[in-house]
Amino acid sequence: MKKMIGLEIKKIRHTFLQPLILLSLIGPLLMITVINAIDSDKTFLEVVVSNSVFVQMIPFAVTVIFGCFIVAREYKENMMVYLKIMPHSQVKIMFSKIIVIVLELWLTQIITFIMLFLINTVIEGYDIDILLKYIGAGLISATTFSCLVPLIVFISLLRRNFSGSALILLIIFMMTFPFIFSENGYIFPHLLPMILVAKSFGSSVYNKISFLGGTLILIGIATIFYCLSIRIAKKKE
Amino acid sequence: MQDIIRTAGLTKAYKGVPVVSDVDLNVKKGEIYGFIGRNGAGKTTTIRMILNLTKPTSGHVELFGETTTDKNMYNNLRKIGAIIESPGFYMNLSARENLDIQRLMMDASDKASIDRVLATVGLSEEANKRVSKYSLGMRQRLGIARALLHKPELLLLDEPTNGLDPQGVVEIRELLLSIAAEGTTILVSSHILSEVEKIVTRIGILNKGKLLEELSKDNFQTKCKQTTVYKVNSVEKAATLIKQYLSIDDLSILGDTISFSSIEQVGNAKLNKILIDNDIEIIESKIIRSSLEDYFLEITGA
Amino acid sequence: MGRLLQAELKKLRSLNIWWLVITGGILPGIITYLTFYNQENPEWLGFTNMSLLSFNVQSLLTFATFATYMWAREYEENIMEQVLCYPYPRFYLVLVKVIVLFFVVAFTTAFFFCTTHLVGKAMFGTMMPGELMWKLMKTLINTGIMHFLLIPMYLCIAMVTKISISGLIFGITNMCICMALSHTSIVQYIPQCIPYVIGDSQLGMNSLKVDNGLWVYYIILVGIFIVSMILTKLLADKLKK
Repeated sequence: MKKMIGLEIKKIRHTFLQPLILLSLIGPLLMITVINAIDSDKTFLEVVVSNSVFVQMIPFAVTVIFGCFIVAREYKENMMVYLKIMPHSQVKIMFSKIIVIVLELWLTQIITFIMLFLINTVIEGYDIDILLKYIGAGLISATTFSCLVPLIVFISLLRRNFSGSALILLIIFMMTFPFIFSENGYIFPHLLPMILVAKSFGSSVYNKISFLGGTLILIGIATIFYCLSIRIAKKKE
Repeated sequence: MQDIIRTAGLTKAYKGVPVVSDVDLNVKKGEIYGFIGRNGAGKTTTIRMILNLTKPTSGHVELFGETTTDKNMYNNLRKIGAIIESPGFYMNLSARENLDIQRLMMDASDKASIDRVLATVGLSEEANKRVSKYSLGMRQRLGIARALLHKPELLLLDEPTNGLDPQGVVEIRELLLSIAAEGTTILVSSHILSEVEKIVTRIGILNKGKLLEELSKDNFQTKCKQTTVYKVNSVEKAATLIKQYLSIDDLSILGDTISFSSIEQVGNAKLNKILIDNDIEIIESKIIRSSLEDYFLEITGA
Repeated sequence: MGRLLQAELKKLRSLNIWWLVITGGILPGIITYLTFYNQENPEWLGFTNMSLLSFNVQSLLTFATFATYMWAREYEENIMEQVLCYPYPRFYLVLVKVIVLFFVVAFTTAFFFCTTHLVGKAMFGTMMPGELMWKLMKTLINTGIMHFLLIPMYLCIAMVTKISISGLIFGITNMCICMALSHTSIVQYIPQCIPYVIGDSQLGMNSLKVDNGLWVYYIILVGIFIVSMILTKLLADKLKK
């Protein structure tokens, strides 16, 4: 499995994904810094808290693109047939892709929150409580978004097309995005990660959903789409 | 000799429409098996069923003496190299990197094998170039290199000379002959019957999903028609003599040319002597043997 | 040019992202309906304003994705070489897409107008007040034109990147910028955010900062339009090399 994960990482060399991941790290930081500079009434943490959805959304959008690309390209580059005649199960190959996507997600989410903390420290000085808040938010964000990775893989396997699958996922995400500001936003499972992070920062809007409830819903979603992805991966013509 | 590939009643139907019907294929160890058929005959579908990529509607496949199941297929795949339809690659990676991925996926530890196969197909100088910059012919060669990387016991090649220049076609032909000489079994599917004819030891003819015939090269050559053509100064006299001395009634006369077909080799020396002894001038004589293409067209009713 | 336009319209039939435009027209109204559903004493103006804000933000995604997809699909479906063999100047290929996109923007805007009416009627039980309807129409005409003026910029992005996802990424980035900076004074000068800001002010809500007359924002957008069209011409000429 380690070898397969290494191979998946090797396959993304010289693609547009590498600069895109870099942009996904820089984008939110730049945005928060600019807002903080304009909105001098709020503390840096308050700016992060009020814009936490954007901080998470950009890296997640990049993860969707990343995930759709590494799955769908096997069909586009006519490699799927050759993967199927390798002496490895399709489930193993698919699982290695899921792990790589999760690794990328964790990398971008955790680094984003750590960088935000570092900027916070530079602007307002070191505070252990704030550090814990950022780390907590980063971990919750990474863990909860990871539950949506099987959905990304499932849609990509179904559509077998990079643009098509990324479009569907991101447009559903963005079109339902305004619900995140409503107390009933939790009915959309793909908005739960951002809602739970906002809750961890102390938002009182989302009283209707608990951390446990949200986590259970996400684990359920992850399980369902993982099973569906296995079905598609194993399916022969 | 052991059957490396054996299919029994292999059938595939899509929405009730059969694309492969009841195919009983036998490929023996060490053979070069030419799998020929028209476009849409079902060759690629059959190869896909052999590789367990497509589930047969009925029938089964045996590889290396065992009925293939999802479980034992992984062991079999380590012994198989294949090109199916057009070879696919990771375009953003170089040839060497693509082969390295293949080497790792096939659990082949020998890194030197990459240079070996690249040299075999003539891509050593372009090894570090990205595949996106390769021409069609270069990608085809790389596909062959990838199939050979882990020294497979069985090679399944679907149109291996597609896109290759004439020199490339000759090189691949010689390569396949040398691989077969080392004991590798090869199943090659192709439209270029003149090329298939030069390398195969057995032929399977597929038409509209049905395996019409399976015959060895010797049987094929025996079955192939042979036409003897004589250009003489006195056609009627020559025709009478041929009928009288060789008991051949089915003659074709066109102008000053007389031709007749026969399954067995006609004793040309004997006929020449008869004609000369009867004062007939032989302007030209030749034997035309029908090719695989002619035989194929005849048997498929084209 | 007429034949090229006809061909382009025929190609649209095979485009499988029409659902994007339909969704872009319907969803703002539905989202607003669901948001206002449990509120006490909702009113037409608030409903319409929120719907319009949603529409203007989502349109950044809808039109950017649609426009880049229209161009990039030629590459993704390996048809570009065929297209470049048409007996027309390269720039016409771009111009024709701009014309078609004008109708796409107009259709989406009109569709949004109708669905807002219907959803609002379902919510309030009455038709939209005449004055508000007239204001909304004027606002939509202005914001529709503004969205159209951004189209060549999206086509530029598609011509450079050659992948349809670039429009989606650009649209998402613009949405984030719009929403994150909505209560600041600089958002009104960001070209992609102008329709969002102007829509609010034209409807009479003034919850977003607008410091200048409409003509200032039109100058910015027309400038963007002209620069983008020049860029697309240069990029199109480069295609034949």
